[in-house]
Amino acid sequence: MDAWIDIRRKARLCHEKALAATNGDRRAASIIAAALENDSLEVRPVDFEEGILGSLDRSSRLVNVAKNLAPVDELVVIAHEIGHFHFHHDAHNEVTHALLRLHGRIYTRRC
Amino acid sequence: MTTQINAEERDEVLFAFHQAYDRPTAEQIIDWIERYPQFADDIRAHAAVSRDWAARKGLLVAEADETMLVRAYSNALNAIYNAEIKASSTAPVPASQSFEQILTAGRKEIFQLANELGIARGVLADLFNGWMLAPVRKRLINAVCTSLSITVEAFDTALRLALQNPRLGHAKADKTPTVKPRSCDEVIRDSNMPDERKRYWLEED
Repeated sequence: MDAWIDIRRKARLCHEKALAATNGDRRAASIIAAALENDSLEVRPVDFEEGILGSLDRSSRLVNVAKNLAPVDELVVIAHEIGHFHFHHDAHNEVTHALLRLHGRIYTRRC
Repeated sequence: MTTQINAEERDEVLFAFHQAYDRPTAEQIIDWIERYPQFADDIRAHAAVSRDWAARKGLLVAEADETMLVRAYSNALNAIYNAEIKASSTAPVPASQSFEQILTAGRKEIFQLANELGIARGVLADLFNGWMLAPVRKRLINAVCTSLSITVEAFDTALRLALQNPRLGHAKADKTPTVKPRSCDEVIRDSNMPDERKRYWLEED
């Protein structure tokens, strides 16, 4: 579990690096685009079922975002997934669909 | 060294601040920021946390919902499993390997492999995460097998494992997420590759 203060620090650092890349352009879309590029992340629209807004695939460096989100919501979801990229390196936090059993992974994560 | 000293000093300042106020006021926060401007962000952040904690005092503890119970149960199973593995003198030899294990053994990540093969990372992601239904295009199988130095049989086994245990990574959802696997051709056609690359991987060249 990541401490709140560490989350704040990493978020600030991520924002600072992105802001440096945008040469001071503070629009959300610009900051998000720079943050994605800084981490070599790509956004992919996905036809998720209703209720799923997005997901982070760390190994693929993909931010999967539900299609047809409002532009503002899409930016919020992408920012959320960038946050996952900087934290949660423990694979036990990831969503794997498997029967609950020994050697199973965590069943689901909602955040 | 300087960084370490700063971190220790910062922790001391924050601890003193924490001891001094349960619910710091704006004036108190400003006062401490003026005294320790080098830790201004940390003081503000800690003040927010302190006020949040103070606001929660006396509130009833939230009842565990289904997600929390399932998560705790899964964590317990993982802990038992990890303990058993640690306690056993010899680790079990896997009868078959997942794509994840094959990639780890080859010290590669999906996006690196995608760059190497000249294919959209989303296509490999769907394949390796169990979002792509069999049959998989022969050209794609051969490329993956060659790059990862595995046999077609090992590929088939890994694909079966992936489909049995699809991965979603870290998901933002308001209900239990599920995955809808698609055909290989559909995944390739829906990717962000140029048409020429799509035709190549669809074996239409």
